[in-house]
Amino acid sequence: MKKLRFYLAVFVGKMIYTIEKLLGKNASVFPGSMAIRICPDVLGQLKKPELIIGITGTNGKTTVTNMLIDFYRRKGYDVINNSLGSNVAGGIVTAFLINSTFSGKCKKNIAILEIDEKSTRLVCPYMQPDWLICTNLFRDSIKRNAHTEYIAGILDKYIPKKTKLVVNADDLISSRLAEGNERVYFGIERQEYELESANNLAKDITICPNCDNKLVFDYARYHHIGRAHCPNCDFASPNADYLVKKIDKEADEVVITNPVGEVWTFTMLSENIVNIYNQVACVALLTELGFDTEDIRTHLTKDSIVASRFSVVEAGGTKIMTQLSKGKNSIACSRALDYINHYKAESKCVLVMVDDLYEEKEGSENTCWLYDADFEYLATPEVKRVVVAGARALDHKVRLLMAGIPEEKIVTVEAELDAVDKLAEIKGVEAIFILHEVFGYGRASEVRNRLKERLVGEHA
Amino acid sequence: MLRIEILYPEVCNLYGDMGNVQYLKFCYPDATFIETALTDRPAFADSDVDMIYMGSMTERIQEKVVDRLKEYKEQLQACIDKGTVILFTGNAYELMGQYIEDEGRRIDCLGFFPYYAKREMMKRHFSVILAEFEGMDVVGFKDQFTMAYDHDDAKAFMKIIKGEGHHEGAMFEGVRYNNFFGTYLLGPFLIMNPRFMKYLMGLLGTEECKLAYEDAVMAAYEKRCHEFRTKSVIK
Repeated sequence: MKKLRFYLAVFVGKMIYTIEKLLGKNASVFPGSMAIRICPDVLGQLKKPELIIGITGTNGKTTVTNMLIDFYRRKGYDVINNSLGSNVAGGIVTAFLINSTFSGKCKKNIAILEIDEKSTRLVCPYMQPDWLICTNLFRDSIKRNAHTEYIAGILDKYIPKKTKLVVNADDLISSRLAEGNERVYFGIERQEYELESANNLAKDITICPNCDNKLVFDYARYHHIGRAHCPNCDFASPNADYLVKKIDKEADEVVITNPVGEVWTFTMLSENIVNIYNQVACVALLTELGFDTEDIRTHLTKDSIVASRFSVVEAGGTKIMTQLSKGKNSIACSRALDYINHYKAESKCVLVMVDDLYEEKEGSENTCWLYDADFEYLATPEVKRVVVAGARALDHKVRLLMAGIPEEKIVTVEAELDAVDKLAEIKGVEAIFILHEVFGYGRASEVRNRLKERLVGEHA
Repeated sequence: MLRIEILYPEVCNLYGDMGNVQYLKFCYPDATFIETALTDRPAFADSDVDMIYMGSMTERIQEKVVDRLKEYKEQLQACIDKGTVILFTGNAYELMGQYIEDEGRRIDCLGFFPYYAKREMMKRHFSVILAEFEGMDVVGFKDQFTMAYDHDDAKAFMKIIKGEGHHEGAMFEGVRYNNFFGTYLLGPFLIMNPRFMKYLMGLLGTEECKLAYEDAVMAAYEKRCHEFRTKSVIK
């Protein structure tokens, strides 16, 4: 009977997938969810590949997953993955189902899976990753993720004992996950410009977990990322095994030392420091898995950092950039705002369009996160105008005023496309940034394309 | 000059609650703000303060905060009795009740008020509410693992117009006693409720209440009140 349920689950799951695909649907969650409904331990009974790599963490997991999948593909491997699908239990089961025979045998040797932090609860009892990268843990959506201790608690409970971890030495929250498990640490050495305290609003670990005294940061990169120690007991940040010693933007290189002190040089995959973390995390894992530096240099490349997260177009002398800035995730938003702040240009304009349209349709979006996000980064003379579009524009306006942005620089519009006029009004701007939420790239590109037409037309 | 004490901001700072402190600083640029850390002795224990604020925290920190505040229970009681303005938002407010029940475990709280909270870590409640306090509309967000029971509704903070109160189906939300205000509503409560903010400033003895960024804050408030009246509130 048990076997019968399993075969039925596999059959139905595969059928739903085929039908959904024929109908032109994404088919990422539903086949897996239905299979779980028919046979709750379907994932447990499906045969597994020889190597399973999981990637979790608040920010960067999609990028790291894509980098690793691309690496293995370029090396000629066929990889089970959920990169076009979903990172919750249903999505992971779908990924295995479509790579299994009807009898449940696995057709490929490797699985690389992005796993939503909370979904480890439903996934890990049935599928034990050999390796798990946790990029970082930060406060995230209030509604789904509550706070980092809640998420770390779930991960601690469900990360299997045999899973080896690749964790961020500069993150005092995720580096302490599943403390009994074997692990390697990655990190980035202190940069010249980094100070003893970060000016960010949100900091998810500030006191010693052993004795409650305020931690002293040796340096703080952003939020709680950096190195810290307790002045009262021996608690301190761990040392990184794979450490970015140098970020050389002019030479477009990063220098990484390995656990035995060898010094390696790699092409920098992105200037953005969050992507340098993603790069060193991949280097750490791939080295541990036995790949040599030549392989990593050749097959870990820039193209894995996808355009839907960051894109640039040139329009009559103005650069227009779209940036994913996950609404409701105050840290991802702050990282995007920090990037704008540090971007070298005499004049900048910003469009913030991060409302959750789904929540607005059903009710009203919870906007608490605005007060954890560092909109203060936009209060510089170079930022000439900030346009906020969407149903929550008036809430954003209050937040922007409190962040020190003068009222005359703030424009609110209800409809996102109305932002085009407001952005085009300021003449001769060097850089325009469009911040959009996860499902907003299509809408953001539409705004960008119209804006481009306008600016090119005016320039001609 | 006003003295405003913020309790444990290094840990009681979840869900944008620190927006309230930022806003108080804008409305009272000359006030003295005392930020008390978990390992510090609170200012209210030894001297007069005009206002005390505490925001949301993790469940682990709740227990630490209760332990700390138990040492100063008498002084806190004295503050409540003499009418010090106190605002506890999110799960900070739970600590003023009898206890928190967590899967059979009982965490004793400060016991100032009769209610208790029941925690279910796998069941997160989120909603928005529209309520009434002294003829004013109050709007806010709830995102919590707990529900509260056994209130003395004569001491309720606000009457629900739309949404859930202390627990599902309850008609009231929070506690108001003298100038103590406790509510599950979290995040930038004072910014979202400029009329209540003015009321609070009145309690602090401010005669002409001019809010920071008043026009923008009022416009956002009126839009939200209208939406909460006309749209669905449970997400």
